[in-house]
Amino acid sequence: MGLRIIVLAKQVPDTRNVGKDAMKEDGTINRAALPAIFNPEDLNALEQALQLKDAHPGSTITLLTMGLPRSAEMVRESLYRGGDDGVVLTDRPLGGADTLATSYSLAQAIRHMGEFDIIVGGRQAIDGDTAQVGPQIAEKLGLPQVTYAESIQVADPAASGRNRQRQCRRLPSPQRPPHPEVQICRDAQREGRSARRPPGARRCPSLPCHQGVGREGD
Amino acid sequence: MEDKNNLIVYCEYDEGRIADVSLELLTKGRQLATRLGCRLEALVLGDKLDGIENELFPYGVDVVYKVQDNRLFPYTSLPHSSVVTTLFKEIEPQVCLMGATTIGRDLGPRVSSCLHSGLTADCTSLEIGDHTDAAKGKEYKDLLYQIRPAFGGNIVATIVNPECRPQMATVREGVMKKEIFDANYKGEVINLDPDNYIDPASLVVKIIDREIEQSKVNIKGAHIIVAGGYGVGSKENFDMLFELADVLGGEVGASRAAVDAGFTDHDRQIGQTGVTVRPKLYIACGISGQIQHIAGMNESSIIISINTDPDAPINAIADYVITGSVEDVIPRLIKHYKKNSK
Repeated sequence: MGLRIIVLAKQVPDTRNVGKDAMKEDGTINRAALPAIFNPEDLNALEQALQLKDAHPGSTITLLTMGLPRSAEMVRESLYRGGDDGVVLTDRPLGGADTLATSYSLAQAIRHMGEFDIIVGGRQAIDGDTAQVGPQIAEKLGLPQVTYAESIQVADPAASGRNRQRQCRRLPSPQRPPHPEVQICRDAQREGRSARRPPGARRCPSLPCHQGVGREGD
Repeated sequence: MEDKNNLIVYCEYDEGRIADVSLELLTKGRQLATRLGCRLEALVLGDKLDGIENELFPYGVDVVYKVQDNRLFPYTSLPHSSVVTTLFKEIEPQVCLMGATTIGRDLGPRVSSCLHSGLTADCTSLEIGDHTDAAKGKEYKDLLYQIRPAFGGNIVATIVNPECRPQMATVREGVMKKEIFDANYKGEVINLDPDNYIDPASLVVKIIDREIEQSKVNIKGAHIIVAGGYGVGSKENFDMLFELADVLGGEVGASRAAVDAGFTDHDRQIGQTGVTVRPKLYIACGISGQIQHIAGMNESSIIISINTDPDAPINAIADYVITGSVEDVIPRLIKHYKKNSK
């Protein structure tokens, strides 16, 4: 039986190449002035989702991101790597959102997106380093969470429980939450697979992107 | 329980002990509580808490809240956040501090989301001060200044939480100093009934196995650290750092850029998103000295910087600077120490 997997990902400024115009007067980041990349730790989450998909044929992977309209590049990259579709949450009022506003908006989007089995996210984004949005989304959806996971396995496809490893302060301890759940992957645990651009494909496939979902349910 | 608006530290408990990071936060919390004129409180959740308050009182703790229940150890997210949020709704703390550990970073955001109050992760400094909101024309007295490097270390941000309570912050282990306040200090113990605080619906996650492994690397305890940055250039060049560390009897650390580049393991990372160290000697090899890295090592007694760039920011805090490439300098150091250490 396939799983419906949501991967949380963020487009981040490449913090290694920061110029003078990177910060706005109000102390927020001028994202438009910086090169944007796929948050490296979210690639771990995508890779974990792809491994689950390999192990459970029929699974689907939906990438969910919030950001500027150009974040649609994230969905394209996910499609090249083996994802199935994506949702871009983009609207001017979402600009400058802190972690509570971000997790609220993403949780609302997830409610809008319907049934799912598991949400996987990277440990943290390299621009904010807060590691807060994943657990906050879990809280807002009323779901259990497992942070710093090292691997995720489905114990028995028929059962509703999952088997995973979580890295504690000193110890990994597999826990068994009911599904659905939110899963946060630790970095550097797995090699990401490379993007497989379909041969001859110059243009991106048309994307099922829904814009402005965040305003609903406010 | 009528006494509200105090400063509370969530204390991590593991097999009969309180984590060092929590004791460090109590030390800092004592200073802040004195400045605020409020009480310092500690919250401990676990299975065997008899006498645990005796470990806490010397840090100047006025009240220890204890919730003792087998279901609260080992740590799982939901029961702990259930207890913390229920208690916080009753006692309305003005400030809550947690360790920026795998537990604090799991629990903090959940509590913050539930109570609709902001949380600042990985603070490197905490102070009390006033804040004026020019747009609203409003003045706020005695707020918690939550200070941390942000945005890849390119800025230092001071974050305030003017309206919502509690003001929440996490701090990494080793950032604050742990110091006994008064060995004879005595406070009050309040035992809370677990059934009033653990929501039965929160008991859905079952730990099916627990495996404990000592961490392989102990850079926190090392007196000498040879740390490499992106400028080391390759995994092979990092082997030279291991050789030098071996000759000196030290450990090898790394900056985030070096870890991200795959030169060495994540558990060697020093800095704001890694560990904080205070060795007697810190040799920084090919490390430019981003503020996030410096936050994790600037209290080292002696700092030697080896860098091709004479203007690298790390040279500003280094006691000795060697201008040259890592490939050139390190083998000469190894040769010299080998020859002279017999």
